[in-house]
Amino acid sequence: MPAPRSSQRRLPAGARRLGAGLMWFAVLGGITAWAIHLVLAWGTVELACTRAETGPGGEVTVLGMSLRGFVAAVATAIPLAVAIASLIASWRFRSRQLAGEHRETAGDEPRLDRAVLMVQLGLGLNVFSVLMIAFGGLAVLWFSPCT
Amino acid sequence: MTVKPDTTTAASAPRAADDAVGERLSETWPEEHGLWAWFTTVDHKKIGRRYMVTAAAYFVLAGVAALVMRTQLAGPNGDVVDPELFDQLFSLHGTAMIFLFATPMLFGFGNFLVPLMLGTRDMAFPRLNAFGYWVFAAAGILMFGSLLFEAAPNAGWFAYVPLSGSDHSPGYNLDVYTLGLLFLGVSTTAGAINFIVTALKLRAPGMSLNRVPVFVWAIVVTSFMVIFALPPLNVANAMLFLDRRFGTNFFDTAEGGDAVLWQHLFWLFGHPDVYIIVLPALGIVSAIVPTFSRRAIAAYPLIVLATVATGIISFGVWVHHMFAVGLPDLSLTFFSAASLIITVPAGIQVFCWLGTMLMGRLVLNVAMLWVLGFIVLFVLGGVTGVMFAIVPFDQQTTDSYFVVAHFHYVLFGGAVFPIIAGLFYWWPKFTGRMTSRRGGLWSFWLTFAGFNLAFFPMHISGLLGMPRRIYVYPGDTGWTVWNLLSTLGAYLLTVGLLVTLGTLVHSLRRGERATDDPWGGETLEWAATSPPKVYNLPVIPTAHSLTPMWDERSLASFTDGIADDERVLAHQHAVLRTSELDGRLEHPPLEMPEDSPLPLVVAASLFAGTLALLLGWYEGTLVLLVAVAALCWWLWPHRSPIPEDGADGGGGQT
Ligand code: HEM
Repeated sequence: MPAPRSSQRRLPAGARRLGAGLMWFAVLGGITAWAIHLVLAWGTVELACTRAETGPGGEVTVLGMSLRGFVAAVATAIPLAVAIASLIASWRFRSRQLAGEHRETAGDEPRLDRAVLMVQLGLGLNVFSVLMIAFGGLAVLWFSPCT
Repeated sequence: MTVKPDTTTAASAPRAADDAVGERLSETWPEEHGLWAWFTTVDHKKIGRRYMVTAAAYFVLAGVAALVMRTQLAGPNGDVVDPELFDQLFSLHGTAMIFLFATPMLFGFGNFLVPLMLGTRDMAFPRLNAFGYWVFAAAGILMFGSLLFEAAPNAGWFAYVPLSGSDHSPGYNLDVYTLGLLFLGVSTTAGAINFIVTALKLRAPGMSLNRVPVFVWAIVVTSFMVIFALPPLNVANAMLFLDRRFGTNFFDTAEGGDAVLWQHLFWLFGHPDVYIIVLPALGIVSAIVPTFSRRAIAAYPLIVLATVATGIISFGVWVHHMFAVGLPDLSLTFFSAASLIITVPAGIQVFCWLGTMLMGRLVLNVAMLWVLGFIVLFVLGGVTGVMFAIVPFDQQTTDSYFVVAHFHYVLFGGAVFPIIAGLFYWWPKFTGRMTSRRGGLWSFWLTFAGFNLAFFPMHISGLLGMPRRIYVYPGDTGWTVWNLLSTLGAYLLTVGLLVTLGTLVHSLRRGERATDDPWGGETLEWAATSPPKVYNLPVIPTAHSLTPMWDERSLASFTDGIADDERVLAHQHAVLRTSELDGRLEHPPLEMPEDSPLPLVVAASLFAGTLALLLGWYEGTLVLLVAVAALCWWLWPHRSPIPEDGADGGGGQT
């Protein structure tokens, strides 16, 4: 089995863990954000519309915010930001670190090739996630809730 | 780009290794015969074959139910069956095709092939594997047997409440459904866990994640989906059983329950389940296309991405089955977004296959023909699927025959065609015999024509307003001609399927003997003999690429390994362990359990307990104590684990 690359061997354990954590964020961050968006946005709309707690203007409210405001800000904008961050992370991983090193050692570093695959997966999942959350965001702006 | 080498001298390396060490291995992995061995075997290949044969038998039974329905609907006011039986026929047909045919059949392929493709000697938990099979077989007997007592499920395959509640559906029918599916769920969950652990821990050294065959990816993603999707179904079925039998009110709106909860729980399982069926089938396609295009799959990362993305996103689309329920528009739109995006991965896979064919040298073998037929039908089913993602269209066509046409294109086109393609492709490996090309061609064209004649007209009758699940229709609706065509198509389809069966049976009796690698395949199952020996591969190879059978270094590892005790493992009934991500060798090897009657005993007592519960004979459920006792015996650490130095010592009884 090939030994770990020398540059990696030199990294302190904390930095290696951080790197691995960032890598997993780049792979799974977006899709997790989308899952949270879906459950939170859908769940809030369903529950708030069933309970129909209304504010001063007759608008349905959640935790004192208008339903639309809550879904747009908390359930959509924040997950979207996380998904975009994950997308950027995977993009940077792929284009700067892995792709460059991959070219040098292509074919004889199963660990690196595997990491490249994971980041490619992350990149694709992140693109899908950003799109799905953005479509949901458009719907929040377009439809009035509870109809 | 990896292409199949023209010379295959190196492909004889596995055979040379087998000649050198096969005899020694046969002592630690003996071939058992006789009735006792039949009931106690834990060999993944035998279990895999059993899964396939049993699932095929259930397919025939569910298919006969469909044929009776089509005969009834051939013309207006049909009187072949009464409405009560018709209800049972479509419910049993749908339930059986989904739960007792499609998933178990694909699990059968997985059982046989995954350990071989990974270069290991069995599944991670061989006894659990045998247990899963027995439970599955018994669940089928329960479901189909109920028809003899007019007690088969009769509220459709998704058993909506309140129709499925005890007020509207008295009798045992829905109890058979709830308990039958709960019982079957034990098997499916056990199988899924087994696939995941096998694929993560037992890969050949060097097989990092980027060298795992697409079929294995598909099986693993499917297994994760099963683990997340089955709990909602199990919860729903348990609650429905409690409502019906013990008067709880989970789904009774009059008593503060919620009928829509059933739909949410069911479809939270049900939509992923469509992909649970289709993904492994797509994995079969991804295994066949490279072999007959003579090059490695194009855009491997994209096809893996598509598989993983489909698995995850499929959990966010369930409400698209409920567009007509009256949920808020905004809620629907979140699911509509995911429903549109989930078509992209399917499209990616189709383009990867087409790309592979275009860039390779296409060999139009019978298996490949079935794959091409699949692509046509799957794309057609996909087009109508995209139409349903548009909420207003869905609301117009919901519960019509348009839906029946759509899901048969997806399920029959998307799963049965690849399954038959897989049968023709791996038949030499499964049985050691080749199939007749002429028979294969006839079987394909008859089935393809019959399928389209049976299901295409359903789009039209659906658009003309014909609802699904009706047992008669009047003659003045304009539906008659389309129904007649559908019925004729169903008969032609049956002829095609019979010719398929005939071709396979003929091969068993008269087929030419198969060589180890008759098609020049690129994955490790082709390194085994046809059919494989009990120990699968004589030497555990090192995978240096995604296409080990086409690369000299991986092939050389067979001959290099002959002298390496660790790779031959002839002194232990054990398998090698490797790391999850990179396939690095780990120590010590994992001792594998011997054949045992315990899986059968546990499954049989679980079955008896389920029957007692079904019949309301609650004292009888004490038989479950036998299962508990057998499980204790099964899990008891009889021997100490292999010491770190890898010397012989025995191990756990997984
Ligand atoms: C062998 C050829 C097949 C024929 C001729 C056939 C025919 C039919 C017919 C006539 C119905 C009833 C439609 C209605 O009354 O609403 C039906 C329903 C259904 N079929 Fe098939 N089918 C076949 C294969 C399959 C396969 C392979 C699958 C799945 C893998 C499948 C899954 C279903 C499902 C889920 C239903 C819905 C049952 C329900 O309404 O609850 N069918 N099929």
